[in-house]
Amino acid sequence: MELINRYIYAVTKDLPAKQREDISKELRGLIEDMLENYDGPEAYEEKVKKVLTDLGNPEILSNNYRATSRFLIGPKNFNSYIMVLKIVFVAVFVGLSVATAMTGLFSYEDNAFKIILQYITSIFAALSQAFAWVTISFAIAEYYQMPTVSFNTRNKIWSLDDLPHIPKKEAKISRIESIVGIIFSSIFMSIIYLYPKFFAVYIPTPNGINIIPIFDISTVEGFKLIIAILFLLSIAKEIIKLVAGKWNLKVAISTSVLSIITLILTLILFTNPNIWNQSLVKDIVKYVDIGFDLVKAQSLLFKSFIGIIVIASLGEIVGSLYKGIKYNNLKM
Amino acid sequence: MDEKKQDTLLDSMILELRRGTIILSVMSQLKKPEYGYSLVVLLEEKGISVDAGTLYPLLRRLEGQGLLESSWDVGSSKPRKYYQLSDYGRTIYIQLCDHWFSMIENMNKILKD
Repeated sequence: MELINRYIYAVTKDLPAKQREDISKELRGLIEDMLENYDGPEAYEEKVKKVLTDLGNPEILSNNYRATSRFLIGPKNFNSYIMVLKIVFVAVFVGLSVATAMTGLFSYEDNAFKIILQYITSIFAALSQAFAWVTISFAIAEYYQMPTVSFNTRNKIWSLDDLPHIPKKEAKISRIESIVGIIFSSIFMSIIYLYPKFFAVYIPTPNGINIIPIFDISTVEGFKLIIAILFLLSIAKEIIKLVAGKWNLKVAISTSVLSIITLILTLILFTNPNIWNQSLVKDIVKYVDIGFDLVKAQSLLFKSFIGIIVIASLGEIVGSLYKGIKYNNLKM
Repeated sequence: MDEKKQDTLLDSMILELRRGTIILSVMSQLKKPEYGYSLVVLLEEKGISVDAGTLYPLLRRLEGQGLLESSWDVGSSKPRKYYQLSDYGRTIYIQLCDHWFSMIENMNKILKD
């Protein structure tokens, strides 16, 4: 009897709760009928074993009861998944390698062994992160049946009008551009995460190179969460563009929203006076004479820096909205 | 191609062929109420073997689609779930049979050419 219970449990454990009882009852009836009709001299226990073996693998039976197959990432989305995964892996790998090479070149304190060790562990951590996030995003898309390809065959009758327009050359989103974008984000991210001292003014003096950090290292440490979010946002933006492959209104709006969030976070980060090395200007002036009063120009320089960030972001947003509207063929 | 590979291919093609006919065979036997196992036996007697692991889930699916109606008989010693064609199921069944006969006719013509 125990075997029968275990078999029924194995079939029904993953089925929806409201069907479970009914199916259990029906299966039990079936097994009893099969036992009754099993002619043979064997003991009851042996018959049970034979009957259950006849019924076959409970997992297959359970799958038969479930109407639709379930996927973490289904066949519809699998191709995009693999493409995005490859690109993100390559970009993260290249980004981290370049970042490590640069910091290795410019750091005079760390030895090679330490750098290589840090490189290997951060590569491993970054690739695991990349894999996890890409997979989670696609799994969510799968769970809610969001198609990442433009053909939506559910709920509507297909007509010739649904055929996608062959994108005009200008409407295509360059893959290279997105890949370069991801690589640069990865480089920036890895440096600021692992080696914020790298962002510095390097001044050669007769006694060696004087390094004046641009950022206040301990404040940067405190902002690592925002920096990580900025990184994920930029990656998400590029992935949306990679998957879409061409500009349309939906792509333009979603990337613009991400750009706006990115801009706000960036401004929060850089307008915080504590993030800058307070003695930066003073130290530079101490070592070099650049001909004009840097201390006086400081606030103007800062304002222009913020201005450039804002203008660049707005330019990107306007640009993508323009392309999105221009090349949107109303089929989203 | 080696023989074993050929055999599994043949098996899977036969399975594919039979798949469509199972529903029709099941519906044909449900003009009066039957429970799952009695249906297995009934079909077996008529030379059509369907394993219970396929039939039971199929019955539930057809019920979900409104083609079958079910009721639990708790009167006897063993509680049993009886299935029967619904009115909708009957209409569909008649139409399916029409298609089947014309399909068979055409297939026979093609195959005997």
